[in-house]
Amino acid sequence: MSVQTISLKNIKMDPALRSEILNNIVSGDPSKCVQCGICTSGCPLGYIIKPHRIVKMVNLGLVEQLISSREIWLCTTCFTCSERCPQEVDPANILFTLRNTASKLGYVPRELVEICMNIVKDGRIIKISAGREKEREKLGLPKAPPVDAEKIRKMLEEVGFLKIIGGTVK
Amino acid sequence: MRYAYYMGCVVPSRLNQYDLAVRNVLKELGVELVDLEDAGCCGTVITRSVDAKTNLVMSTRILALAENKNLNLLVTCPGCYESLKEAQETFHNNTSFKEEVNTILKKLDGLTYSGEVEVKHLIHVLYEDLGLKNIRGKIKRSLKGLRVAAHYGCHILRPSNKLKSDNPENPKILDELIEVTEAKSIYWMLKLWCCGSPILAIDRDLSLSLTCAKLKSAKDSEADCIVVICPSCQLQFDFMQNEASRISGERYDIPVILYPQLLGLSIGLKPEEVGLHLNKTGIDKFLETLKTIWGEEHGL
Ligand code: SF4
Ligand code: SF4
Repeated sequence: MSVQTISLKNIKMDPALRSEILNNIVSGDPSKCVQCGICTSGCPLGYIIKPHRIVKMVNLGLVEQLISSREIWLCTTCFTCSERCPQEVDPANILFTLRNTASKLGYVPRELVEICMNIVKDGRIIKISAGREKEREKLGLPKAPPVDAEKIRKMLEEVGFLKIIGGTVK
Repeated sequence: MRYAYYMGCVVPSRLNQYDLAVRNVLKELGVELVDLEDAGCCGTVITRSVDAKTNLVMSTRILALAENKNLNLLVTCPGCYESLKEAQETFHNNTSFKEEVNTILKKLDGLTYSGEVEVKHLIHVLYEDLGLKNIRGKIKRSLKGLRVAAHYGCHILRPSNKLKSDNPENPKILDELIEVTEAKSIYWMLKLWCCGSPILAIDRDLSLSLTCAKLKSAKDSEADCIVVICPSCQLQFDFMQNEASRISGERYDIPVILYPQLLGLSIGLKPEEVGLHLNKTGIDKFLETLKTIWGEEHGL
């Protein structure tokens, strides 16, 4: 398993980055966390991700370590932590905010960039192959609804996604 | 009953049997589907991970396309469902987003979204709009004796404050839809856990460790099959089952059936009419189980 744990060497506090992250959290409030650990105990990957620890680190401003870690990308987005948190902290959503901040700073995992580029190129996460279209025909299904990929690309440009993902499509 | 039908990305690119089963079952039940053209990807947790707003804009566009047809939206993927509901909620609660997204949509499609579309997953259409009583009347072949492990999938349930779909800790919709066929929805310990699919591309082993844990839980509870309502969960449990068996050291051979396939069979559709031959794991075994249940008259 290729999990990189959060590095706690050369601890750095970054108040500016912390404020940026706090400003971008759209639901939940990390300052309400009482470190009860209910989030982590319900997390299917709680032995690796530890949402309560992530919330604590955000509160302390140890955000640089977080956004450069691989751990934040291992959350399955199952929302169990957020569902069960008695303080309405919404750790799953905080994780999204951390990922968004990491993305802006260029830390998107390569595997995710690839999937994003599919959307940019084809308007879908996975392209519909000729084989699948043939299979549809054989099953008596109508053709898959067409997608104007150029339009989707324009939308992604408009909203700033292309810039973040570093994407000019070749 | 008429809905705009949004298929999403995974179904037409990997799982035509889901589409086939949905169309054939809903036809039998008198529900009309209008394909949503030019919709593209909803953004899902993929774009949300990079930029949450992108996801909201992509999803709102799909809502606007449905509104343009004057129809409510039927989706079959909980990933799309969660995304679209999240967009709907943001649209209603955030005026600046509302203006921003409408500016983009106007430019792109000449559309303005007013916020009127209701988003439903297939199970909501079956459970709420058609109703169990209606469906019970259509059952031709009882599945009595079949032990089913119901897997909801995360994004049909959580976050419940936004989705308001079912009780997130003790859901019942899928269980009742299974039991309307007289099959038994069994207790299994890891029922509400994630299947592992969202992190498959990022960390394959870790992702499959969750899949294994769930397969083991279903096996321990002597499930005849796992029933799912999410295309990604289906791919994870069915297509990845072999690889999951390999890493766990324990061999699994558990049929994984999409709910509309199960319902289709019990309202009298043939296995090929619900695309059962396109599923990967344990299908022969599953058909044998059905033959035992249906006896001489199985017609398979
Ligand atoms: S459950 Fe909520 S309050 Fe408890 S540790 Fe987790 S985030 Fe903090
Ligand atoms: S959303 Fe992520 S952090 Fe929260 S319980 Fe699920 S996997 Fe763990």
